[in-house]
Amino acid sequence: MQKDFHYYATCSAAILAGFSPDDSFDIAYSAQFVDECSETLLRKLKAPLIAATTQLQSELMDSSTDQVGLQNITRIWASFHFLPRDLKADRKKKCSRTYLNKYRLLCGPNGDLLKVTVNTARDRSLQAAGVAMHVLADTWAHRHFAGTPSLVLNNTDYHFYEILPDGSDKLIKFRHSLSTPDDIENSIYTNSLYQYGENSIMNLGHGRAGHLPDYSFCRYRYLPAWGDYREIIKDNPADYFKAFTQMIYALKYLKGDFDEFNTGVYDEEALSSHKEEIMGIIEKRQLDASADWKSFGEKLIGREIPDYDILKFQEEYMNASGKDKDDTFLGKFFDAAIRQKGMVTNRIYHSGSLLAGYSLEE
Amino acid sequence: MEIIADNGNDRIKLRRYSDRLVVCGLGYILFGAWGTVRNGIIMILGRKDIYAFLRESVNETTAPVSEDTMRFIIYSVMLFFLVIFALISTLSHLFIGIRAIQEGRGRKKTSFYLVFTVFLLIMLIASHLHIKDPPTENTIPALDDDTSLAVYVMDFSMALLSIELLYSAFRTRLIKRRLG
Repeated sequence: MQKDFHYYATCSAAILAGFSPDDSFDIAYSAQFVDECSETLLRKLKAPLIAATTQLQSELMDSSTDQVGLQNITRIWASFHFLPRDLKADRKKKCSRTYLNKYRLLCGPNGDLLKVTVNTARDRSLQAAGVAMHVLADTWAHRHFAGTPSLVLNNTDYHFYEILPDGSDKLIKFRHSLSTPDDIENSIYTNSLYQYGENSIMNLGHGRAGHLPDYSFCRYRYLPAWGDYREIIKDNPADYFKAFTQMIYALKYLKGDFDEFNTGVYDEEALSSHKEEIMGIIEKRQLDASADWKSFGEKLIGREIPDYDILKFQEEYMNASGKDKDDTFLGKFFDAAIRQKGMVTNRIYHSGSLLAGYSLEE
Repeated sequence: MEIIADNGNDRIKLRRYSDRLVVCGLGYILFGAWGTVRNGIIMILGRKDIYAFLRESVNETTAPVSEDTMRFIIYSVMLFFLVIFALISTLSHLFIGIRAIQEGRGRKKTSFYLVFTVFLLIMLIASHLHIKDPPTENTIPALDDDTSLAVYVMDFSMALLSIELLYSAFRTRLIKRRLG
């Protein structure tokens, strides 16, 4: 997902869950900051590099794809953007242990790890709630892809069709031009280059499908590399709606409204009067829905939602000294990020896979 | 809007065989390139023997000309036939490969390329049956063993590829007919 959902939609979800406007802004900021907190930024802030929640393209290009490099990449992307759905999944077809370990990293909603993610944020900071909401939202958008560079999981091919609003199919044309915006009218989108190397960076996450998973309006059908020629239909509007309603439910749980968080539960009641408007925003064919989500959120609280500013809390962190850093906004965010990364790495390690590296925690 | 993926057995098989057809088509093009390179290397490395063979044939039939002129004519003829054979080989493999890819992607369906594939397969097998004849003083000396082995392996792979291409095309058409 992108800023329109991670920041503005999360803010709206927090408001609907009953958080105050200021708390909702903090949660939303943290949710979006997961997409910004790279090692480059952490170096600038002189913050612990282990708190990295994303990698810039330049960092990915520079990173090695030996075992250590791959583990570092997987730790970040599987923990925050492609939370594995089922670390005990099995395939009907016989396969090698190596393949099975990768297959188990496939992202999807309502997995066991999601429950642990939300519970990890319970009784903690607003920043932890924001991190959890980012992870939750991405389990819907990025489902069917894995947060590890893998051709055999994440590759796609020419069988890729957009399902238009009138129900017809249009063959999607992919190109490799980062500077040219995607052309919605003609179904021309940018994706990563095909690389036959199994562990090539180009095969990380949903790169081979371009930004399509991050567009809320998009419905498409394609053949994932892991699917044995089974077609997947990705209905982003339905998934984004579920993500939004699940976020409201999760945020109510984090606020303390009830004692247990269960997967597969969606709080549609909270937006009964807003459903049509929300679906309108989600289904509108546009590359960036920030303006619409912002407008919706501002209508809910009757005041302006501040634009996202990556520099907002940096000075506070840099000016603080020693242990005081932990009490700053970013300090709390880094704490939440390290906990989330540690938890996911631990779970992957204990599933018998070394794809995310070792974990000492029992 | 409810959208349901069509993942019936036939549909999955159709995708699998169509994909195989595309891969076979690509392979056919690459093998065609290999064949052209191989024949070119044979002619270049064996040029002296080929020259000697042709020189002897020319001696028996034409009026005497200077040695330089004769050399020029013979090498020009060799180059001409090398280029012609390379073109024919490359174009025929390209034709078959592209048609296979087009059919695999559901764009165009013709049968001539399949007939041509069968023809080339028969020619490929026949060329190896011919090599079994013991060499006489009039035939070009065979290549050394290592090179022959490489050629056999590649040609065997090519034969398998042709069979796979034909089978994939056949299965694709059968399933499409079944699906209506």
